[in-house]
Amino acid sequence: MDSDSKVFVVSSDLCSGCRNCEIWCGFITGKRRGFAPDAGHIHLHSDMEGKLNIPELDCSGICERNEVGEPICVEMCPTGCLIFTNREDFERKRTSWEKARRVQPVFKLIVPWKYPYPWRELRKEEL
Amino acid sequence: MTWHGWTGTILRVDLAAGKVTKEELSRTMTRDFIGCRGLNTAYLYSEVGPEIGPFDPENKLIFGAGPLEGTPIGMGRVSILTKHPNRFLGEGGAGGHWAAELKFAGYDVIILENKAASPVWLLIVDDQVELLDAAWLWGKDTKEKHKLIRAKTGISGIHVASIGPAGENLVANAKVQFTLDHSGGKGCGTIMGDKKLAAIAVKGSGIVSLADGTRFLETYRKFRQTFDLKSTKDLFVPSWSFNSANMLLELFNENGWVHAHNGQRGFFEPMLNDVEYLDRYVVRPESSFCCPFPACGRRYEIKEGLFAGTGGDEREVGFAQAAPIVGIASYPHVIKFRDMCNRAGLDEDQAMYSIAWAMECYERGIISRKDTDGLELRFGKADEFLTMTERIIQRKGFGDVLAKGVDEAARLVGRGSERYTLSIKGKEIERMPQRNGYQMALALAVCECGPDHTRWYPPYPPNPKSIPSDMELPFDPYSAFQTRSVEDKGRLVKWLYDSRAIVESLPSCVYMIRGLLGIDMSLWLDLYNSCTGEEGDVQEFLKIGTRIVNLERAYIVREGFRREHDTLPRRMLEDPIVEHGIPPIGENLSVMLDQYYEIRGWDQKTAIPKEETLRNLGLQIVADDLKQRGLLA
Repeated sequence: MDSDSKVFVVSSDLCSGCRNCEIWCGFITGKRRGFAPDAGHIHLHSDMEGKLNIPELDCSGICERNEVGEPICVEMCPTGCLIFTNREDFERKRTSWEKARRVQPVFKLIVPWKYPYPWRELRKEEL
Repeated sequence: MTWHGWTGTILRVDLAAGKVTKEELSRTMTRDFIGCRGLNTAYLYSEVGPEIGPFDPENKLIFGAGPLEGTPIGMGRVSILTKHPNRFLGEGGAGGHWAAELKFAGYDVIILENKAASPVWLLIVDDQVELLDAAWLWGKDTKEKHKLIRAKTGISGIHVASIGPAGENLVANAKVQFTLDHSGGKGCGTIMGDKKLAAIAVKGSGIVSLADGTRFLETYRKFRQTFDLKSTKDLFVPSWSFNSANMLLELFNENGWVHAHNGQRGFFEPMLNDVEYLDRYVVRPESSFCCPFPACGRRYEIKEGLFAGTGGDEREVGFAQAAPIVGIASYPHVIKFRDMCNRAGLDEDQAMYSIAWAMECYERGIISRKDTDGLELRFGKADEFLTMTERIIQRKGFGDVLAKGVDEAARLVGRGSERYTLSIKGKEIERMPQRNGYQMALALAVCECGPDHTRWYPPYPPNPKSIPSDMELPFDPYSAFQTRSVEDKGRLVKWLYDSRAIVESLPSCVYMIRGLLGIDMSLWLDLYNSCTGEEGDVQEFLKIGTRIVNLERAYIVREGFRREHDTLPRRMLEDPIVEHGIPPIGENLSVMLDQYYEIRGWDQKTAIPKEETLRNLGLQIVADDLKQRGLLA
């Protein structure tokens, strides 16, 4: 997998402000010693009124990966708003989401590439 | 001593003297009671005896975060504990981010003592802990308080726990309100108001250390698989992932789970529609700290029309489930009501059930316009409902009567109105079905802190096919979950209480108990051990839960609560649900209580834990204490 061509993209209108990415990034960066909000490369900005959450990433995308090749922040993101992919793929996904949203209001809350389809790309042995 | 999980520090704040002291946590206490809810109870038991009244300065208010708080298992859960104005345990949990910040700042527990002479607020930024004057905050609503504190401190990520006008005016069950509309602790807001503590603001930048990070990550991945839509075996995972309880409205109506018109009916028409809610009012997801559900919490807003601009954040409880109680079928009114309660720190169940009681009394002719200051309090009158809510918050006229709680209000009104109160131990019930869910009826009746669903949630089984055949359960999963039979309910409710006591003490959110997590504690134990470095086994772990529940029972026994207080509203015991043909509970309750006390090792006549039971759980000190007070033979 060539990580240079991939970028992190955040659909901030779907970010629930849960801080999973921030906390788990700190966990990996801090050598698994514990959880600390400021240890990682991600910082979540929130207006604290529930109107806006934006995770800010200061990261080159080089860290340890799980078995499907995702960084831990993307693996742990529950809504699917944080993805690590190339630009064309992201644009395709974003368009499919915009379309889905027009038909079904539940896509205000979740993304079609995570729900209800298999919520991650199938592993090699599953294909 | 190095601590993993716990930070090892307690903050003790003397509000009268303005003095803050830091104490070391005791290793034996954390072993026996873990943290959060369990540890809080241990502190309250040893420090606030029955000779201290709830409004005495000696009563304490305890905010606790457990060892797994600050890790992604914690979900920002905090447990708040005090002696409730009705003298039972005033315990309540809230989610959000506040407790995680408290752990990052380096504290496990805050114990607040005495009363301040004038309003104060507590600021905690890592090592810096200050008690400051709060004259400029007093009288403001909770959302304003949070905004003002953010502006004053200049820290954008600061999280605040505060009380609103309801707490300041000592409304009976006022709650503590956290940033982003998380709230909890019915009655704790009242005591906080009595102590003249306006707010506690927390920001931390430290670390919650783990004993074995790699093992923790592996176990956490297994935990997350429970919520994976592709492989989940739990019916409720999809609904909680998208639209929480709102999705189940039709199910509620079909099964008679709503308390329509103060519990007189089990069916409500026109029921609010969850798709309309999602379509018109929901804006975006908004979660607690590290919640694995994408949209258990949602931001909602009224964009146009009546009450335009009103909005907030919603979790777990469907609005629409609540509206039938007072007979309303209008989203704008329910959203406005919720916003008023959140701003004022008023308990929604108190407002809802006490106004519903007043409406029933009005329709039955027990009270009239003269009593209600000219308001026509009938079911379905949405504007009158909102006006009455405002009067409860401000304690004006008839609102002052309802602000005392529905039992006290019925005592003041008299004329047979006591028959229609929906309350247990003097506290209004929550929206939980009872006549058509005997496990829930029993669990509500025996609860040590008034009716509280988080102590035994969820009361339904996982998919039977997902239960491994070799798994040993303390109850029979087929008969125990039968909703209208008394069979096996004692053993089931004991299990629910003991296991959920552990989950709330770690802490984690009881809405996370999905799939096998509710009947198999080994994954929770793995998370606990890998975080804290403890090495207990499952038996030892479950014993902690039993110990916590027994200590809580000993506490309310000391306050004078006995078997006769473990009961249900008369409506549930005597009236059927006509539309669904569901009979009242009647004598079944006492059969289930006998089962429950017996399996617990408590005296069946009095519900006092036997000495042997307490001794086996390592609570000899408690047994001696009860003996000294003449409560044990």
